[in-house]
Amino acid sequence: MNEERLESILTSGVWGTCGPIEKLATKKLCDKLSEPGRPVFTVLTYSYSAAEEILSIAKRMGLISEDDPAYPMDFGFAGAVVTPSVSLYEFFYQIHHCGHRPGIGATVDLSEETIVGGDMRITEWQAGELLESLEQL
Amino acid sequence: MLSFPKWPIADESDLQLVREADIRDRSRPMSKRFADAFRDFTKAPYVLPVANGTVSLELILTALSVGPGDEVILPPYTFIATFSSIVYTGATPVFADIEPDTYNLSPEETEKRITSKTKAIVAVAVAGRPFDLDAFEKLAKDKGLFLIVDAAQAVGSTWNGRDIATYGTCASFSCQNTKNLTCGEGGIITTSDENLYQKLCSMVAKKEHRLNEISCALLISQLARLPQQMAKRAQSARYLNEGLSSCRLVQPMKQDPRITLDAFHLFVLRTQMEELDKVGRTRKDLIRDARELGLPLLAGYEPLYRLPSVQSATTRKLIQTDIDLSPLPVCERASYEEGLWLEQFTLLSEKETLDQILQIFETLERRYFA
Ligand SMILES: Cc1ncc(COP(=O)(O)O)c(C=O)c1O
Repeated sequence: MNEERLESILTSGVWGTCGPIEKLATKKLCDKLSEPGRPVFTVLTYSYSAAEEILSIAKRMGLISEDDPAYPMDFGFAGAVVTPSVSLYEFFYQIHHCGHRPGIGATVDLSEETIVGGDMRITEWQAGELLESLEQL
Repeated sequence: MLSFPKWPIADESDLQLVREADIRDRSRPMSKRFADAFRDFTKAPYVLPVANGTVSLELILTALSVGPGDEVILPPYTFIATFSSIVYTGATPVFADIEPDTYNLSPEETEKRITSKTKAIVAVAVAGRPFDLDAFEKLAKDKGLFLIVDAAQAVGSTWNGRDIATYGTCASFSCQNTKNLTCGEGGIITTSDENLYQKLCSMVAKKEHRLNEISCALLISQLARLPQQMAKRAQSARYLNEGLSSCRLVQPMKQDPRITLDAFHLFVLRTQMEELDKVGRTRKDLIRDARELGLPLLAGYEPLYRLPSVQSATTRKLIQTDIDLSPLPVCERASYEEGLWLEQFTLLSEKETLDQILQIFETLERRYFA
């Protein structure tokens, strides 16, 4: 990762928990994978097996079946779950971030959370690395 | 306006180490360096950095072969991860009540919940304050159960002079960005059982649950800062507790002399409900009024058994059985009437800010009891 990005992650004081670099990398990946009129949604994870774990938990919870359109991606140093379905994306997001809904932080009203989530979050460092790889593609 | 230090704290020394780290380096030198440093710090024989403090709990339970049909006892007054790690293995969580003056899991209540299916206890050092480790080690030994120490908030805490990382079958730490030792996201497992450590190592490597090299690099520099920060937090907590000792609004938590170092991930106070009752006020009023004066008081955890996510059909589907969701009186009181939190960075403030905090309580006391 370039020095400037590392320094900004470190000095901004936002080191993780779905921070700004993760958001940028998520958007970049979605842009790369989407086709005109056919958007996809992604949840970035700390590893490929963490992405597989999200899908496995979603199956065990009865939220998806074998035929649903969702697949894990491997970047070596990080992973992602990809789906064209907004509702599946929301489930995956909740599983990856302790039940929180996309766009909602930790101060959310817990009575709105309907799925017991785990923690498969990518770090800002890995997201920075991914963002750079995607920019170079 | 009160001014609190920015958290996390980092400077050139952190950047230096981060620059040296390579996320793709498979020999993982930073991970090894950090594990060595944490071993020196805690004296825990085996240290394993992992992706976060939720996965650490899942890994421990899985390595101990906890799964469907087993029961695991936990407190309801904790973060959801303590619960999710149990249900993700397929095991059944069993809630036991907490103690009124520490808000930690009660050993007596835990003992009452033990059945022939119980396999493990996951006890949490809430706010960083160690739970009764003597009682729980004895209980676990007598009943042949695993004791998992959820020390996510308790890095650096000691009990009878021994680091919390050295207790239980395993201890689990979180290095997420609000925690006292942080790299943004991260976790640590400690154990004194070599076989278990080897098993955990191979699980972590096979499924890539390792903590990445940059995060490990950052933990090295953050760990170097921890003792000084801990001393400051403890000093501030003493100062606030003394200053509030005769306050009619709140009272400090019980000080257990066996806690030889307290991490103070949270500074916890108890609302003096009976006093507030007399003047028709509640904790809700106190939180609102303190916030208006610039003090970010928090109400703390809701009981897990009341969360819709815990009660959901998806959770039942994971464990293929029902969970006992009966309310537990001490937890109810702590969650809905009494508990008050300030976050750890508050305790890193200058003395001037601590005095302002005391003044806010004085102002409200005068206002309520005028
Ligand atoms: C008691 C407890 N257990 C587990 C965790 C999970 O840690 P992490 O956020 O690193 O997954 C936390 C984090 O807030 C916690 O407070």
